[in-house]
Amino acid sequence: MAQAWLDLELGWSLLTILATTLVYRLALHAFERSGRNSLLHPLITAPLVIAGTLVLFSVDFTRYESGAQILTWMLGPATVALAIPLYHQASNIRRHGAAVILTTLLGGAIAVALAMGAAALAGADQEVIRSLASKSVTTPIALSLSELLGGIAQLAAGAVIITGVCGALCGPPLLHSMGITDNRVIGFTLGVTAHGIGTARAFTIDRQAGAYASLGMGLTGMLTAFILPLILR
Amino acid sequence: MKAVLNALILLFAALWLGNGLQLLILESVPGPVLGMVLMLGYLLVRGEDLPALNTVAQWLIKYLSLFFIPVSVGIWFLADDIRQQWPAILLATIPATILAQVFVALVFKTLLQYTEKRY
Repeated sequence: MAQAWLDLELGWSLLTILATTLVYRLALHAFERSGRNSLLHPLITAPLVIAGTLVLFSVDFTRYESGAQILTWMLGPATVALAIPLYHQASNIRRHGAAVILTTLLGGAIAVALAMGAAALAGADQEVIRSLASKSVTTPIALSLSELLGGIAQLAAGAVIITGVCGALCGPPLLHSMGITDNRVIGFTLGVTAHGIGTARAFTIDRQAGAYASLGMGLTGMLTAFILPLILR
Repeated sequence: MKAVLNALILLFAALWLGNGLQLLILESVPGPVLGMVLMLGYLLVRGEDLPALNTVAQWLIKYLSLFFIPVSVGIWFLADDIRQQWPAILLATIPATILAQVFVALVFKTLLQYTEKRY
């Protein structure tokens, strides 16, 4: 009996991983076919399809989540892997050290303060406000941060995705309208304010914008993770 | 093949040490982020990158969204009292993101111009 139960659990886990990867594969395909339209980012479409499927078959979210936890667990190694593009950008950090680090610190602080302040003004709960604090940070770091800060993981995930999509969509036209044409500035801004989704958008502009976006994303994630818990705990 | 194994060993060693460091000393910083800093430090001291590590890292980062999907599905299953706060959440995130972009772009542009004039 116990053996059969274990096998059922294993089977369920494998099924959720299989289904999640399959849906992600299709979502990525649709995203690429759309010319990388940020509104069709796999982080918007795939969760929607999976959530719909869970409702359709009346499966509890917690049951799905425990089945797919190996995928979530991979966020740990993926965070460590972020060190590698950051290392490749080391020459840019040396060249523009002060500009890069000052902008990251000021920009990160402003983004957090604006989001938390606006949520407080709009009358959100403390838990919700704390979940928004990590919104500009790349996904794996945002999750471990929101856990440390007493936020709700799923809500933090939502805030991160909304921020990324909004930043990737608004950023380039907004900066162009301000007369900014330097791709280093556009890329870096996308990386600092819109993490991975913004960085993906920057790579569609050109390699230089993408490189500066990776740099901005990596630094923002790292510095926010060190500083934010000291202020908010 | 062994190079890929070495890359995996490095990644997991950094993650494990980062985790330990959080438990023992720096409890306010997430363990994986400490692992990231350790890995960056290792590469900077080493002075050159490892091709196999580049490949593994590129793969992990390229499909980062996949690992984030199980949590993101939960956005649709939040408790009612949290769900009622969506208008506040959207109101906070969207304008905050746009204002932060204007700010970051202006600061970075100004600082870049300033540093480039000096050299």
